[in-house]
Amino acid sequence: MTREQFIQTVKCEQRGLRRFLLTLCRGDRMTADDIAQETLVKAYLALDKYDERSKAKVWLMKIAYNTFLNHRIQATRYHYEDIEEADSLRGEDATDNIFRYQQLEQAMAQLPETERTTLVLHYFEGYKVEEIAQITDSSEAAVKKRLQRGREELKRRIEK
Amino acid sequence: MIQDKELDMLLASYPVAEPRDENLFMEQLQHRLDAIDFAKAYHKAEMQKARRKAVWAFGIGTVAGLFMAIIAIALPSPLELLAFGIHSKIMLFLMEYLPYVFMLFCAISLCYGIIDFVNNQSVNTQPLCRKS
Repeated sequence: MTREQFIQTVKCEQRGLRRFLLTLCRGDRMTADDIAQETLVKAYLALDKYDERSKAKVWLMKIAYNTFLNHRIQATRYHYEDIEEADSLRGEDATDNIFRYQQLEQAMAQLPETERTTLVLHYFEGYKVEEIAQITDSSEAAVKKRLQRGREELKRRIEK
Repeated sequence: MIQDKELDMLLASYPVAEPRDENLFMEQLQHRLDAIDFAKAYHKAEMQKARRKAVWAFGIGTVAGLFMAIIAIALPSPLELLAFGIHSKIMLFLMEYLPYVFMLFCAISLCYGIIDFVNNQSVNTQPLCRKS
């Protein structure tokens, strides 16, 4: 892949990549964009290892996820955002379901990292189970298990 | 506890925050990629320079060595010139092999000289700072 092809690929995929990192970083735009930049630089440096048979977006998401995990290990202890600050997780076109969304955000924030990531990739980014397995370096059975556990946990925590 | 259907609807309708400033983001990325490309090109040029120098040093060393060997073989043995009635076996042994020892010493000196010269040339031609 040449630099021009890489830039074209990034232009197509950067929105989804940054949105995913924005959700993982719980609305912290600066951190999410920093991680996104680092991800794309790593991807550019590893272009010779990229297998053109695989999807570019899955490859980029895998690097992004690993970069996010490294960033979390190096960063200071992550603190839980207040409900007011968690508003930035939501887009500006939130409807009357604000209370429900807040409950969803709170419930998601309390899930283990792997389950939250799996739910975000599947429900917010639209990735299939096999793609999520590639991104998170797990088996498809493990991804399905995380989705199931994550859903059960969300159902339990969100009040009727 | 909510039901499956309601959870599905909630997850499907949740308005995920969208990233902003796409142009700024791509501009920053382009700058980073420019820096990477510059570093790669510089490194490649340095490697090519070092390889060329090694080839030159090897070539000159080989030619010089062959030249010295021919001279050493062509010269008369110092045994005939310097014997003057010396009977010590050690002295005779040394005098017999003196041309080869001398040739080896010259070859090593020449080799170090070429390498030193080439290294000095590379230090003199390196820029002190990167051009902006």
